[in-house]
Amino acid sequence: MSAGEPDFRALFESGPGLHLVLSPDLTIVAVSEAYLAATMTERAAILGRHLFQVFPDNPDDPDASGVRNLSASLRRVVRDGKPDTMAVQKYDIRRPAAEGGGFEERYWSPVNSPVFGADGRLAYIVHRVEDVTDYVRQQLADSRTTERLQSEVFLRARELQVANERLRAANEELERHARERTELFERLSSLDRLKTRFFANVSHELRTPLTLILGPVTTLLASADVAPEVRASLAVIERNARLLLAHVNDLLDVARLDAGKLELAYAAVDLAALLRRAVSCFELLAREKAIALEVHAPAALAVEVDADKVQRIAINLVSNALKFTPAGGRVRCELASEGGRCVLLVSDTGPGIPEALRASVFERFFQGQLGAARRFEGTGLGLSIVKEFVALHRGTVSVEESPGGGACLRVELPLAAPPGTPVARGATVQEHAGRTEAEALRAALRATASPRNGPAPDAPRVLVVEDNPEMCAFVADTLAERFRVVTASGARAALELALAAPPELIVTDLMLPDLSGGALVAELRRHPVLRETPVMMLTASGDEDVRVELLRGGVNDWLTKPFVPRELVARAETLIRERRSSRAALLRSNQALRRSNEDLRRVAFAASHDLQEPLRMVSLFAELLQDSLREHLDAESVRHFELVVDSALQMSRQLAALLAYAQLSAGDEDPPGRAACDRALDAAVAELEPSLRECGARITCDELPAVMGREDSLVQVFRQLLANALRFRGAAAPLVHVSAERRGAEWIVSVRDDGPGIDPAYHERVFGLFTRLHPRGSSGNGSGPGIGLALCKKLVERDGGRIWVESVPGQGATFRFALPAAEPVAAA
Amino acid sequence: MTQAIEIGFLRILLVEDNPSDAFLLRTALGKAGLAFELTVIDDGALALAEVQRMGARAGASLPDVILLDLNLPKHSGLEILETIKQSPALARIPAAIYTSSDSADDRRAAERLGADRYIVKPNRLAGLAGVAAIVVELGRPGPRAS
Repeated sequence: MSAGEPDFRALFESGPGLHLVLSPDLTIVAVSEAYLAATMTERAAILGRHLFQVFPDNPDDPDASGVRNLSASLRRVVRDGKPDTMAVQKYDIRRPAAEGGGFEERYWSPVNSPVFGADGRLAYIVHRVEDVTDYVRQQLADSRTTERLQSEVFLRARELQVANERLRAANEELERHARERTELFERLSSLDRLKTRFFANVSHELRTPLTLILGPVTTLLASADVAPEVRASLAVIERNARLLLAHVNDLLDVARLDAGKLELAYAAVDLAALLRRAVSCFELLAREKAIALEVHAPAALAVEVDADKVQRIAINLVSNALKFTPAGGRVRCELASEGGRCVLLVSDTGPGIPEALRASVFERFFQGQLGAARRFEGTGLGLSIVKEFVALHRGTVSVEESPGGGACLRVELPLAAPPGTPVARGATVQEHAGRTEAEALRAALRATASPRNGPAPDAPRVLVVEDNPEMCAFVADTLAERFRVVTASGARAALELALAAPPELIVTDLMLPDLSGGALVAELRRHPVLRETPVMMLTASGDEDVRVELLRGGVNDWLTKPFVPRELVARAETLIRERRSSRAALLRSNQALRRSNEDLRRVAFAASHDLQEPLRMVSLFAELLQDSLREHLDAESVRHFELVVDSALQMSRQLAALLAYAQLSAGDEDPPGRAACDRALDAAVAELEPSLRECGARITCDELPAVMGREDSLVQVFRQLLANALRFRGAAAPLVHVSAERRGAEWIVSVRDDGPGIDPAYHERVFGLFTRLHPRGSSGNGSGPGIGLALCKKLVERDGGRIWVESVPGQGATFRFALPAAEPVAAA
Repeated sequence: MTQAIEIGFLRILLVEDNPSDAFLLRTALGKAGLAFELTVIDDGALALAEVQRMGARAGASLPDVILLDLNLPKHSGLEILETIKQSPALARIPAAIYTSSDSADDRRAAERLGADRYIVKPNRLAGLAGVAAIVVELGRPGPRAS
């Protein structure tokens, strides 16, 4: 040893401090002489042994908490890597047998500090104590009673520790709840985003062909040399196309409202002129329905509003009134200004709106007529848009009864834009988002069952699992004052009882005869109905490590025996209350999710069904015109007509697919059964016959099997796949071959075409909704948005199958779908 | 539809609330070179009343063929179809559903109530000519499938 290097071992071991050095697993690796003396131990006897083996709790002291507190402190050092100062501890020391054995009462003030190695990892823990026994004894001697001193010095410290532990547990619980809520919120908002994008996509896709229809029709109508009867037919086309456009705009507005993108663009306008203009759109319709359409307005009324949106308000109100007014009736629009506000009244002589329904007419998709003769006269969005637009203007809208008994809708808007309007814009949108959310919440709350006021017959059920009959009776009696209690004496019996009638809380002993409490919890958590059931564990004192393990394993709370009955009841109540409130939150969220889905389905259904009708008129009248004008049309006009018909038919196809897709989401159909592929293919070919003949396509097939599925679905799948092959074809007449191959329990059905094929990069994407691989109008009859293949995928997957495409560009494409084989019918 | 049709005069009752559809059918029947009388009722309740009136008055002049839209104000085409098929006086008149819906549910319901045909409204002129041909076939006097 060099002269400059002190002997650290000697310094450590003989120094005055009471030091114990532990490895991270709490094995004693070094100890100072002073510590040995204070604890009446020998170095050779304790080195290499576990700390708590050497220093156990005094078995004669029922309140002994030394081991628990020390181990908790050491764990904090390991976890946080920081020194931990402990409260004064009573930690009795084992007296050597030579000195009479037993335990000697001692009080300590310990500090545990980490020592890190060169690698930065925890190498040792230094446990330094001061023996404060003399001081405490002195205090004891000074005081009148031991108990008082204990309460001053020692018990206080212990209480603090307990409180700290509870605080930590509560914090963790709080964090967990916050996490769960965030996850729910994210799921909800991603669905909402999906819905909004779907609306936007649908609307956008439908607007394009409409523009293509309206363009040529407007051009034709504008030309001077159009005969009056032709002009009338063209007007039918134009009106229907514009009606469609209005529906589509409704959808788009809703999508924008939902996305929070709608902002007001204030402008100074003459509201009277605006109203007359809006109403004039309906003159023709009113004349057709023999309805008197009147406007009573001042010559001019200057206001500051978003002109587009106020016009939509007027249009929607008038169209709604016309919708419900019978032939020979009257629709009256009145405009006036009253004290800084303008008032628009639209009244009709229809059936009126019953008092009870007046609030709900402004809800989306509300339809006035119900029952067998229910008609979808619109998207059911008109009044909801009115309400939203009015609210954007900080106006009001309400329903009243008109003097004649019909409905009267009253809209009030401020005459002037709010001061500092540009600044207020963002806030207006925010306000809307908040309102939508509040509405969703209200609907969800309405649907939630009213709370129950816990009378005994429907009090929460608690299952008590305890093998000691006396303990079991004690726990059960304690809980019986507030809960309905069921008992089980072992884990197996408990599991059976819980599965038969899931309780709201399970109170179980840690040690059970057939299975440990921890294993019981693991078993409970395997069953979905019991996954969230709170479990409280009854443990013996000193099982702290076990408890942490249990909490990790899904136990919600524990109680140390012996316990105060009041505490057991209080904890049980808390657990049940928490569980119920998180269940209610989940229910509310589910409700909102379902509502969102239902909206999506209904809007798609309404869009498809209601838009089909006017579209059919557009294509038929265009053809009719083209037919009757054949001799008079120049090449340019003929092309215009063809464009109108093509666009209308293309849109009609898209709508049909969209409708099928929407109906599929309804999901209230028969379960799959035996479905014959050959019959389905024949039906699909028959449906497509006109187009097949038109392009000279040839369809061949091998013998096709029966599969487990729905024949209706198979027809649609074949039809979509064949139509796809026809649409994306090469220069020659297309050749399509359908074959099938048995693979295990499945049949793989293949539809192979000789078209241009599909780049492998898009093999998955072609099955997405609204995927488009070709530019609009690049092939002869236009390539619609991909609803067809998305529909196929949904149909096949609904029956437990898969669909995919195999293709090399330039060598055709093969669409394959797999469905379970139907067992062959047994021979007689 | 170049072939001349020898069937005499055909009385057609169309229950349809869209005047454009009525106009189109009238045009198509006219192009088929047919002598016909097309009565249009545009309201479900009125149609139901008319059908009940026809069923009650034996010997009244009855239509040769009835076409029913499904979506009608107040009463659906299916309700009217049911009334027709349950009336001894009217059950033998061919009654077809004439609708834009090709949903399987509507088809099944129409078949169950005894519709003689289920015609989906076409969106091409050629299809419209086909509808005229079907109407003629339905209304043609002579032996009918029971």
